[in-house]
Amino acid sequence: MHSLVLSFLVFLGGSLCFAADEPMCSNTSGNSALIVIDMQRSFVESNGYYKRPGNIAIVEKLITEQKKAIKEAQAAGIPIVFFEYDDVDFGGPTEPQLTTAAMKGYRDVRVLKKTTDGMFDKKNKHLKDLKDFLQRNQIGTLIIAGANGGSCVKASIEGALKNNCNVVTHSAGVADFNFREFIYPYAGRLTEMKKLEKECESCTYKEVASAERLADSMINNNHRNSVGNSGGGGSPGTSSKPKNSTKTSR
Amino acid sequence: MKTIILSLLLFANTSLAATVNDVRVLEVKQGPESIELKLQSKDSRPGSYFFVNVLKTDAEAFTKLGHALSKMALKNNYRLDLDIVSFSDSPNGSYYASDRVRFIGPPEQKIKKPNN
Repeated sequence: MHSLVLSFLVFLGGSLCFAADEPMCSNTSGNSALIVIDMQRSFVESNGYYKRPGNIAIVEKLITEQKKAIKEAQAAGIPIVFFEYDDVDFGGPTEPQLTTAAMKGYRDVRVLKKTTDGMFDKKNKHLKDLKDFLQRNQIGTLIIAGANGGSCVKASIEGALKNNCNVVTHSAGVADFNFREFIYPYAGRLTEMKKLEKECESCTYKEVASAERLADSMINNNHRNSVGNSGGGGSPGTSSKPKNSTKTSR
Repeated sequence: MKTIILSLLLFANTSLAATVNDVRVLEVKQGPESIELKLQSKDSRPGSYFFVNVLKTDAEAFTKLGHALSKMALKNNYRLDLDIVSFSDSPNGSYYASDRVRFIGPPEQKIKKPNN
């Protein structure tokens, strides 16, 4: 029993030490990544209202917009990362239309897991994977889409800004499925995030309504200066499969 | 060493859903297949609310309704927390099926994990 308590304390201590680390983003690098959060069927279907015609149309529009953002990311040569909630009840793969579109002729695609609403949450058991990705690729700007806007997306944006990341929200690529009528698009609903700019050294927050207008934010200096960049789990073109992909607990 | 591995495994497969603290039951509506609870968290802004739909198909429906009824009867003398994965605190009216909501009444609060 004593050793069980001791090992828990070691585990907890490790988490706290990790939490005290420096911010994860190097926001002056100019490098960006497209982040698509929790686009898992279990979230779309969770409250039972997904079969409403209006909601079906919203999911279709959302996926179409996110596919456009994926196309822009591919054209810019930036990493595409799908975050998946790793939970007993809320697991499963990201919407296949999105992962298929991302992997079509493009290699810089990853699936990362999280066990908390916000991907930067200190209690996220896969936080190290996110940190490794950001630091190896010297990511400074996260272009964020996904669901649910009022929870996981919002919490992830808050965490990103607190970790010195610049954030661009693709508001036509964000929805909230936690309502009888799904909330979409998400333009203007996360404006309070702008206030969090004060909490980091020099991070910025902005919203962009359409995928076409994301191109200006999609920069990959690693790609441009790719001579001698061997990847290390981070650089473009190192794998033909999603990286860090693991089976969910479901 | 074995216990270290065992205890790490115990924590390896659990997620940490948002805890909605100390909820009040504002309204109860009975439908043909479910009972809808209109709730408010003590930590939330004034006037806010969300819904949990207790489904007949939820194996724990009876226990969950028991918690809601106890809260209504005992008011401040009964603390009810909810664990909800991906909980949207705004705008008002977010809606959750009970099978994705963990009800944590006083008995569960005593044995709740320290890091949650």
